[in-house]
Amino acid sequence: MTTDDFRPTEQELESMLREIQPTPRQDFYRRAADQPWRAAGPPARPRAIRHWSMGLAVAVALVALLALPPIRTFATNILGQLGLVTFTNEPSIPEKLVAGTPVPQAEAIAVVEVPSAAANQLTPAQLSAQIGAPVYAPPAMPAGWSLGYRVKADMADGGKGALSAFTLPDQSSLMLLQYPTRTVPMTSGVGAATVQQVTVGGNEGIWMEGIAITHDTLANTLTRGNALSWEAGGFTFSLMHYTWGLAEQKAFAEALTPQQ
Amino acid sequence: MLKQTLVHLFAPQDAPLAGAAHFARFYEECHLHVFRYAYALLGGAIDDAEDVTSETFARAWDHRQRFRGDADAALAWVLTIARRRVIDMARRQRRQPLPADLPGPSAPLPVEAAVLAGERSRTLISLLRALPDDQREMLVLRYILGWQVKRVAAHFGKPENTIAVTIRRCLQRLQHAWPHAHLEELQ
Repeated sequence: MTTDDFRPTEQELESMLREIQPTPRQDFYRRAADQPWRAAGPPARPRAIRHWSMGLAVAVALVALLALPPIRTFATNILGQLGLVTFTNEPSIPEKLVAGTPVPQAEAIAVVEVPSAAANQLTPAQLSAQIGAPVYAPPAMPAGWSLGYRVKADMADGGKGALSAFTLPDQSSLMLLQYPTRTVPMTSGVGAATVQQVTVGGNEGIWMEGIAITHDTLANTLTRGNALSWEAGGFTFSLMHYTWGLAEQKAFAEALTPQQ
Repeated sequence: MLKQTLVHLFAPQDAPLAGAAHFARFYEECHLHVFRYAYALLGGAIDDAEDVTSETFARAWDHRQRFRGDADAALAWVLTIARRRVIDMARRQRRQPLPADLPGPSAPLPVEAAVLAGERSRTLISLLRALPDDQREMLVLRYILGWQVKRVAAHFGKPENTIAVTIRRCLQRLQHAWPHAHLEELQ
């Protein structure tokens, strides 16, 4: 789908307008430290900065964790391993994008339409019927949570995945991506993120802290967060949040159940 | 939300923004609103939006002793300052092309999802930029800053129904202008 054959409804326009949430660049905050009311030092960046711009975040998060170029592309430090995926200290795709480094489209292994309307809130059963596989979800939505969207993710290798975003009480988003585990060796650059081998429900997993998980295409800025990836039941899962630590993500991950 | 976070700053006093600590907190809470407001009114120019934001708060700081009012009034006050800065800047730069750092159809990003997001955002920003100033501002306040219609109406000093109808018509114009719009059509 391209812009040429896309004509938004009024509701989609409203959603797209709400998604325009750019933030100043880091240099703006460095300069702001000299302002006269900052005698006591610069304040912390407000929490609002960490809020997801939902649609853009989707595109970017996929770029971050699904862009897996062939392993022969890099000669670099290996930080971790998850199945056939090798994690290295090469720049991640979002980091390349924000730096203006060309990124061949072939490096992306998934393309997901950016959700811009509440109509993208499929139930696990609906999405399961679309992708022909069970969709993993929490057995019950925790109090104060809501579903941002749940959509199909078309993988570049022809597979079908599921992408869900949960809106938490602080308005941040927890994103869960599920796709068939690939069967060929791949490499994923994570930049300066720290990588730790973990287990999730007894399955092999990788914890990435400080990874660039969003690239705001409007402001051309990165936002870092934490991601947990693991393999189970023939699927690879990636869980992403700006601030959640390993314990929180792992607890959520281990509570997921397949639903059809 | 803003009201909740700022309310403690605005206990009755003559000049609620006079103190540096209060002003700093006010800046923390409001600078993103001002930046996004300027960004949208300026058609997506990040450099200019940052400059407007900095200049707006510098001017507000200079005149902080004169301000009287609550949290909502404080934000409305700095947005009024920002609007003047935007108008001044727009006069100087009228009809400049869209910023080059917005990804667009002529400069495709390699990842399709990012390209789609960029294209649509660019299209929307372009269409917004072509709306009359007051209508563009209504959309910015309503959706990008998340104000309720009632608050937008108060800001413009117009009836709620008028604002609601105008916003609806703006959305319809954006919809009809999408995606093959010639910007002149909206003016």
